[in-house]
This record gives sequence, C-alpha cells and structure tokens, in this order.
Amino acid sequence: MLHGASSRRSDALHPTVIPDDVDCPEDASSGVGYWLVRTSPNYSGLLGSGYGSGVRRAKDSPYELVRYAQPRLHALRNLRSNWDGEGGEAATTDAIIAMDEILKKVADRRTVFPYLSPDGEGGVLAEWHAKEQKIEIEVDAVGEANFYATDQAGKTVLEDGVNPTTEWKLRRLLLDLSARVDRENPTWRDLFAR
Amino acid sequence: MESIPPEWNDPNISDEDWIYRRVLNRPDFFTQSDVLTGEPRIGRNAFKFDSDGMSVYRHGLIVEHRLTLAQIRRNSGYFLYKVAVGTVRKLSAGVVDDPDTDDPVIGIAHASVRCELVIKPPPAQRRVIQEGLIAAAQLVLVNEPV
Repeated sequence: MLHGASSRRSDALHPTVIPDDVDCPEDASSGVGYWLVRTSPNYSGLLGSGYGSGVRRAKDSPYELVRYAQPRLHALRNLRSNWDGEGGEAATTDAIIAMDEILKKVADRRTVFPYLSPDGEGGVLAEWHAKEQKIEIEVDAVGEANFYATDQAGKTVLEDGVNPTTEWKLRRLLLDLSARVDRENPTWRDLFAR
Repeated sequence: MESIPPEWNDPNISDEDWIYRRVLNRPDFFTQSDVLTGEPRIGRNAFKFDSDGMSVYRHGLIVEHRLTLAQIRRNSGYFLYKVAVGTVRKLSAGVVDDPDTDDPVIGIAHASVRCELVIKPPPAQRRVIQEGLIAAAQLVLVNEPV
C-alpha cells in the first residue's frame, strides 16, 4: 500500500508520509502500530539522492529529527584523520548507516534530538540526558549497535543489543523522555540551534 | 592497593594527585546540555578509551617537569578538565605514567587510565568509568598556577 510512492520527493530529508486518516496495521514484530511499511532507508538516502522506501504515517514521521541528525552524521563521517589530536578516526560508513537506520526506527515527530559524537575509532554515539534519565545508542565501526537507558532515578532499564524487542523498548523510552522534556522544557530545541 | 598490578594502576601515584584530560571544544561534539534543565554537560566520548587506555596528563609530572597547564591544553580548541586519581580508583580503574615519546614537549607528563587485565574495558564498565569521570571533572582555567 504505497500511497506515497508517486509523490515521493527526491529530497532525502522528506520521507513519504501517509495521512493520519489511513489505517495503520499492527507491526508484527513489535506489537505496536506505528509502521505502515517498515522504513528501510538506504545509504543513498543519507547521501541525499533519495530516502529509500520509507513510508510512514504523517504523525509518526521522524522528519524533524532526521533533518537534524543527517548533516551531523555526514560531518562525523567526513572528519579528517586525527581530528582530536589523539589519532581519532572519522566515523565509518557502516556506523553512520546503522545509526541513521536506528534513529529512523525509534524516533518520531515527538522525539527530542540526540547529541551525536564520534568515538574516535569509527563508531558513533547518540546521547540523551535528562537529569538522571539517560538514553544512549552506541554504534561501533562495523555497525554493531547497543542500547542503554536509565529511568528517572538513574536505574538501568535497558542494556542490550538491537532486536525488535529492544527497538520497541527504546522507542517507548524515547517517547517517555521526549514527552517529559517537551512538558518541562518546551524550548529544548534552542539547545540545538547552533 | 598491594594486589593491583602496577601496569594498570601504579600504587606510587597518590590518590591526591590529579589527572588532566583535554576535551575538544571545536567541533562541539562533546559540549552538550541536559535536555531537561539546559545545564551544560560533557559528552561521554570526551573521555574515550583508546586501545592503550584513556589519554591523560598527570599533575605530579607536570610539576616535576615544570610544564604549564597552557602547554597541556595546547590551544584554545580544547577545554582542560581535572579529576583526582582517587576518583579514578573508586571507579575500579587505575592510573599509570605512560610517556608519549612522539611529543617532545609535554609527552613526559602523559599518563593513561586503564583497567585491570583489559586496559580498555568492555562497554558497560567503560560507561560507568566515563560517566563517573565526567561527573567529577572540574574545568581548569589554564592561567591558574599549577
């Protein structure tokens, strides 16, 4: 049911979206109904020549976060060698693709932006800190990812690799964190305006 | 401390000594904010481990070799943070002197934060150490006396 296929924009930052009044079937792997068709962005999307086959409901589109994250991921991939004066390497293409795909899977229009940083060995880290509550997505140089999260008391509630269950958990945790941040710090976007 | 092998935690280095960690401020990957409070914080990768440990400079060596904190920071593209060696040890890590022979100016004051057996710990342990160091890190003004 590719309603948006004919109107898909070439801009990588504009995924095809489905109007809110279109029924959205349950996602078999996660038990939640946020996917119409599981987004499968490809690297050409990240490079700007197309977004892949991503089709999502308008209200769930992570467009804003993707627009924030993609140029930053580009920058991490294009770091010069020894960018930190300690032999740091740029993020690898595998790491960038993996992070991009995960962000698109676990984020939606409500998601607070993450801070993205290189690990100096080809990997990338996405971090959200809200007092004691933390969420991290850590991707290494070969694209292997791990999730980590704490609750508002700082207790670890997620520490695992990527699978449908942990993706669903991470999505819920991000939604909770984002709702809290949006409620208590509605101007949070100002933190990223640089 | 007797049971700790010196190659990852030198018992001759005092808990009261300090380590200095340079943190890149441009680009600003590591200059972050708490998304709830807006308070500035340091990104976790600012205290990253390399294969031979986390690169730091030790206060005792800086004094011994008459170096300055401005030299340790190198230039305005970095912030300089300090953490007590005792704090490192409370996080189950250690400090060893690790001269950087490629750096004839300040390499003599170089040290490394390492962990027992692994030097670079696995992700979960690494996270605890990095977060602990970040929580304890104090920003250093380079014109203050050593």
